[in-house]
Amino acid sequence: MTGYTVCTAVLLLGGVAPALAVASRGTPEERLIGLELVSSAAVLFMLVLSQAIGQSFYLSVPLVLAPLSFAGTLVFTRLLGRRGPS
Amino acid sequence: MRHDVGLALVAAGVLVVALACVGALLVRDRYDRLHLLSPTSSLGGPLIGVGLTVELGVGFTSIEILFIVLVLFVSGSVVSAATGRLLAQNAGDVSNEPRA
Repeated sequence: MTGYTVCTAVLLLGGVAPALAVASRGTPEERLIGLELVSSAAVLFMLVLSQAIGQSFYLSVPLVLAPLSFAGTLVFTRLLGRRGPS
Repeated sequence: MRHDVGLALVAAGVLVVALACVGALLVRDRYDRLHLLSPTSSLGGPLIGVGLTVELGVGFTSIEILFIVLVLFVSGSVVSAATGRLLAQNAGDVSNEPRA
């Protein structure tokens, strides 16, 4: 087991798993924070995973996920905002 | 030598991300939780990106990794600001009227 494999496992268990737990409980705003945490941790997890298994084409997934999660989160912040008086 | 430096940087980044995620799970206040989002994209991501670049050397893969980390770095602060504004709006601390 190489050092990068250990880093991948730590990132999955110590990063993605707690972020998923944060994203699955609380108010919608708190779950949105968890979703942002999941996105960041998942992107970094896949970066380290591609190095651990030596497959550089695995980088395509985080390359797409990073901008898409950014746009998606901004849409959620817009939709979850309280509406003003009409 | 290059392998050891790269692995040390990646391990440091992984540690930062893991501590931030576990911390976000443990704290109860939503603003504290939002505060713990920042180290993931502004410190952990760049450390992992630089570590992988040191390991791989200059090349297309390294540029791809640095681009991903740059997107994460820039978008992380924007998303944190937008979420902080959303929390303040829903708590009634700021107005949600459009600016004149």
